[in-house]
Amino acid sequence: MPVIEATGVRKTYRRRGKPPKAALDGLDLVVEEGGVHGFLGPNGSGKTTMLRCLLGLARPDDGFMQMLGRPVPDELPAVIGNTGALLESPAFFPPFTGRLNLQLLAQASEIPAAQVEAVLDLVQLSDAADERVKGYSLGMRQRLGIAAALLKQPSVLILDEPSNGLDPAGMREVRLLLRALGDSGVTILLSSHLLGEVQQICDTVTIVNHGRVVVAGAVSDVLQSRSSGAIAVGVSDSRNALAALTEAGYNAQLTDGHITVEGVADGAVIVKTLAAHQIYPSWIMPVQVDLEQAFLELTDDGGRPL
Amino acid sequence: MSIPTLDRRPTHNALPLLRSEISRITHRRLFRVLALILLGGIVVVSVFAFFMHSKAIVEDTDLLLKRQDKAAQIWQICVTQVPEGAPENICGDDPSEQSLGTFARIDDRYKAYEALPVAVIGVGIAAAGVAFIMGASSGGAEWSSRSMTLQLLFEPRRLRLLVLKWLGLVISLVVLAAVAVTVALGLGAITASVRGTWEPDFALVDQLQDSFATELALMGARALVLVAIAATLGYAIAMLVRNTGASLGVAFVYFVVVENVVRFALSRYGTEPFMLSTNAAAYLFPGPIPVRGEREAGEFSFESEIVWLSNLRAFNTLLVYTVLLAVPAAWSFTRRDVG
Repeated sequence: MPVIEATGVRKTYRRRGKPPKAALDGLDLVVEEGGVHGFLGPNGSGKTTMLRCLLGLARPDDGFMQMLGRPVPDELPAVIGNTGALLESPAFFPPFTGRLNLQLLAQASEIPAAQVEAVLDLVQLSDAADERVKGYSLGMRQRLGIAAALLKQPSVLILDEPSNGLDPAGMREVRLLLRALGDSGVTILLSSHLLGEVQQICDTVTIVNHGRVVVAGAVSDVLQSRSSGAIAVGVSDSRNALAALTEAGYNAQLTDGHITVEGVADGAVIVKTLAAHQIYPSWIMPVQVDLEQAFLELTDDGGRPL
Repeated sequence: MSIPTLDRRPTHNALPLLRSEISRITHRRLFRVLALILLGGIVVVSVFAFFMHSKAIVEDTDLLLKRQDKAAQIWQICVTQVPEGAPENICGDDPSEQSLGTFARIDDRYKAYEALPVAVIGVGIAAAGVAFIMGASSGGAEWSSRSMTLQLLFEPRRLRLLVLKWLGLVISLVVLAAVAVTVALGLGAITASVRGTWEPDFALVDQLQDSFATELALMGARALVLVAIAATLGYAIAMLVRNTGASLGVAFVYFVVVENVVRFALSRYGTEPFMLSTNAAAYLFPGPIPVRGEREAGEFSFESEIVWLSNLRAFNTLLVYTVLLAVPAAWSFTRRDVG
């Protein structure tokens, strides 16, 4: 059974002096138990609105949502104890120290004080925990936000851009942490604009645009579905090889010192064709599509920032 | 790297959340500064009152002679500066020829039955001001820092969260006000015992003469209720406008502009009994206070008259204003999206 499931969620924002804007236009989302699920989309595609609806911070106009088998937001109180979340920039009371902010949250939920120290240690913020949050860098606030999300030892983690503001080492640590949590059975819904990060750590992905799902499934399946079926061939005599393949009726092109043959499912036929002309490839491989390419193609918003 | 294991799941009980909210309020620097100003102000005023008063009504002869000498010196200077004519017309009679009793000051004693009720009224109004500022600041700061959003990720039942946050605020401020009233009364009692009198004849109003302690306790209790009302008003406005500055601005415009305009320009229409500050004063004062109202003088005509505002009537008016602001604030918080 999915841990998070949303069907036909709609949310329209009324704007003064402007026409209403549909942030979610019948969005569907399914996140199975365990692992890391990427949630991708261009700016304004409805990612954060969807997460806010799931967490009861925004009220959808229509649709059905459930988490851990309970309809939300109606039964959110029953599942919130198992749900950790970090939405956009973390929201802490700036004049308080990082430790005090977490202590107050822990006290309210009767979480032992030792857990505060443990999560501070986990995000490597113990040394700065007694400094006021208003003096924190964006990266430190982000770490504190992750610590707050982990405070409840959740079985579901909803994270919106958790790597925002982190340095490369911090981003790597977060990536490793999320992967480890996903492997340990925690279900993570990760909204991120770092497509390389998503491709590295996510098992499944949902790509949205204009408040609707464009594609969803295992990352490998999504990449496979966007594969053009092209094969790249490395040969020393590229001119004769290109002539041989063209003569045999293949759509071949010389690209960056190698030959790309479009629309071929099996590379063996290429090898056979070239061998018939006494040309032997030094390497042959299918042309891979990465998540960034797939994303840009699917969202049709290549010119817009992610 | 792994997430630490919890011995037990997080709970959603009201009491821990309430305790956390009280900690949240009392850890705020503004709360501590305002508490220091309030309590420090009480101590300073009390010390000043202590040294301004004197136990003795009849002053000793040496002191009276000194005052007579000083007055005579001033009279002499005055006389030399008067060009001609009778100097007594300008400088008065020669002090050296007046009786010593003329130089005795009026009764300087600290009169407990008069001063202590005044102290409770003063502290009550000051504490209510602190409560309003804290209420507006608490609500506004949580919206501007978005820490309210974070809290909703731990307690998504909005009305419950709001009520417990409000309760935490009110408890913190009522305790502060109780301490302030106690300190003011304690220091006042010391001053009355050392440099004053407990004679009922000096009571601020007659009803204090018969049951001073009870009336004083009731005044203190009303001061705490007023503090709760002020905190609620400040918090409710902040929850509606979601900004501290705007909340304080609304209060400034109301108390400084609206009330004064209404009081001076429209009081003939009998508006005075509906002013917040008038009702706050009437609620604290021991017994009804007279304000300008209106009464029906004939068909479609009214004329002004004195209206006596009792504690109960003042409380009811304050309660209506509080409900009129708190209900929309709560409704708005439970319905509106949170950013």
